[in-house]
Amino acid sequence: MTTALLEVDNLSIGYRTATGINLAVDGVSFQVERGGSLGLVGESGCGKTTIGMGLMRLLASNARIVSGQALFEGEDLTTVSEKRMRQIRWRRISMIFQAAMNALNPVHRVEDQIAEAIMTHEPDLSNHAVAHRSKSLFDLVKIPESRLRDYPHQFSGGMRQRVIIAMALACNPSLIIADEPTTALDVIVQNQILGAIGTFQKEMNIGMIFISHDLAVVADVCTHIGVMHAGSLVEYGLRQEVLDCPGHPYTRMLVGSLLTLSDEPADLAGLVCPTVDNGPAMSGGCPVQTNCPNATAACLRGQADWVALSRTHRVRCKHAGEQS
Amino acid sequence: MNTRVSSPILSMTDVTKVYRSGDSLLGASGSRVVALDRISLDINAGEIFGLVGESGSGKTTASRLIVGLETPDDGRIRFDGKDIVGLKGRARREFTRQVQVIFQDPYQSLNAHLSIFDAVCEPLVIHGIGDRASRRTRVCEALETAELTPPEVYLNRYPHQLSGGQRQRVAIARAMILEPRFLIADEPTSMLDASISFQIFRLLHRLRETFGVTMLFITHSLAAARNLCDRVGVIYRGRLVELGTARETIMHPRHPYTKALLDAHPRYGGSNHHGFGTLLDVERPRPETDHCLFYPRCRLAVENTCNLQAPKMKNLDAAHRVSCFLF
Repeated sequence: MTTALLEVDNLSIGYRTATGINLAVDGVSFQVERGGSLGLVGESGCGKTTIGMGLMRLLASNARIVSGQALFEGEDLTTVSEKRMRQIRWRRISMIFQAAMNALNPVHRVEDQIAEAIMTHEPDLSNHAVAHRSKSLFDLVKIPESRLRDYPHQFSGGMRQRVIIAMALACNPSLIIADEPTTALDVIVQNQILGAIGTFQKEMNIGMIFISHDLAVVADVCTHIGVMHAGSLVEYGLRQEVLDCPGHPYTRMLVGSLLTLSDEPADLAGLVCPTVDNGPAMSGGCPVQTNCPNATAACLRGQADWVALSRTHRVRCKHAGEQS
Repeated sequence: MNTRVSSPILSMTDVTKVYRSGDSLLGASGSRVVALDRISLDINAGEIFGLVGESGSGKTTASRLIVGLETPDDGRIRFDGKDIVGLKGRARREFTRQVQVIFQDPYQSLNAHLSIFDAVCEPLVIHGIGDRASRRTRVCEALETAELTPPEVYLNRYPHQLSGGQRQRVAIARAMILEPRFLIADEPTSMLDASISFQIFRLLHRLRETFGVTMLFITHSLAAARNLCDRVGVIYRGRLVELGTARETIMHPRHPYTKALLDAHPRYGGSNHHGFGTLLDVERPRPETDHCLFYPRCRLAVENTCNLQAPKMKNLDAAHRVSCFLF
């Protein structure tokens, strides 16, 4: 049994508001193996980006890690000093941000921007070594060498996103956090980028946290899936377990609303409404209670404990395993 | 579906729209962008027609031309057999009552200063329909149509108090209150979460079943088009490349571009799909002459044909048309 690359245990992150601390991430635990990929799926506002930012310690000034730990290669990311964090960031853990292709500096050649990323984090490298590494990075993301001296505006959106991926790989990290890396891209370009991410992740044996609202995309690239709702992880397991036999009503709803290409179109009219309105949420109750078709009085009183459906598949629901 | 209707409700014939930028006063011409290039298609009464394409392919331009927000540079657009370009006065007003649009972003398409009642009622005021009491009834009915129940709860709210899905429902109520015959839904769910999108699709489907409203559904998602539409047209860089029933076009595509779109569609456990592989790894240079627009990326392209002229639409059968030299 290998030890996991990243072990997140009971992580809670809160935002300070006028009325006190508002938990955006509430007691989330998961692990990422070397070479494995975990997809965090959830709708907007469920806390998935906050987890990524929390692990990178790049939270907004009114947010803080309330409790829990995140062991990465033996170090707890929630408590290491800021100085140490600066060494970990990008060299050990890098991040591909949402719509990052708009973050390239328009007045510098892409080659120089990659070189800058490398030199900032590894100041001891010779110029020659830096140039060599940026060439091999562009190779990896399939940008022809002739384009290295171009400016960002000469690149398409997909190519700019590849530059960002190359930059994230610049210092050989062992973990990459990809936050909606393909959201603004067209489907063909998205497919190419996902292909590129899959390739380097396997070739370089990198662990990945892939954050997305799109279950179809996550199903395409990830080995594990964690489903989030309102700050909590509600289901966690291998990809095929979560997709083929979702245990949580919320996951069932997400899988049910996944439109697929099949010979027969989904019966839009015949499907029962996947959500119901149970009225305002009771604090302390199950996060899904407000629109769960199976909610009972017990769900309003307290959050369910984890129920293991298999060795790798767990669900946080009081009614897990019951047929709905 | 009823593809053999004598007169389509909307018909576009060789519609072309060119945007120019940077024209100088002295007559030196700037760059031209052909947003739509000789598009011809018919939309039949009562059907949901899907226009599928990537960003920048011209699908939104098509919808803007149909509602008359822009005028085509060439070609004709007819609604109910009548040319819509240059409609004036009463005829223009009657046309705008019959054709309504649901825009992409419900966070921007609703006026933040209007209550839901005022927003949904506004079309009635503009068209001078009804009096105070009857308008209130109609607003409530429209909200119920959009599945915002009970409607009284929403009347005095403002957009910022609603979720994205609820806002889009308000936009749908606003479009439906005039009892239009033709509804354009321009990527109505691209700002919404998956489960909410699903509900909006179901609502649109229900509107067609209940009111028989004809719909032009604009989307970049093949899956959405497959599940909602009767017929689809695939548009690439301003040209229509394939047109047919949703089933035939998406499950058995002919054009290399449609095939590339399908290959790229994320799928899990797609063991029965073994890729068409129509997309070139390295693009060819774009030819100087008129050419098939997909030629630079097409693996199946035939030299000295595809790079020298643009293909014309060909009928494969009564319902399926494709614009490619391979057929």
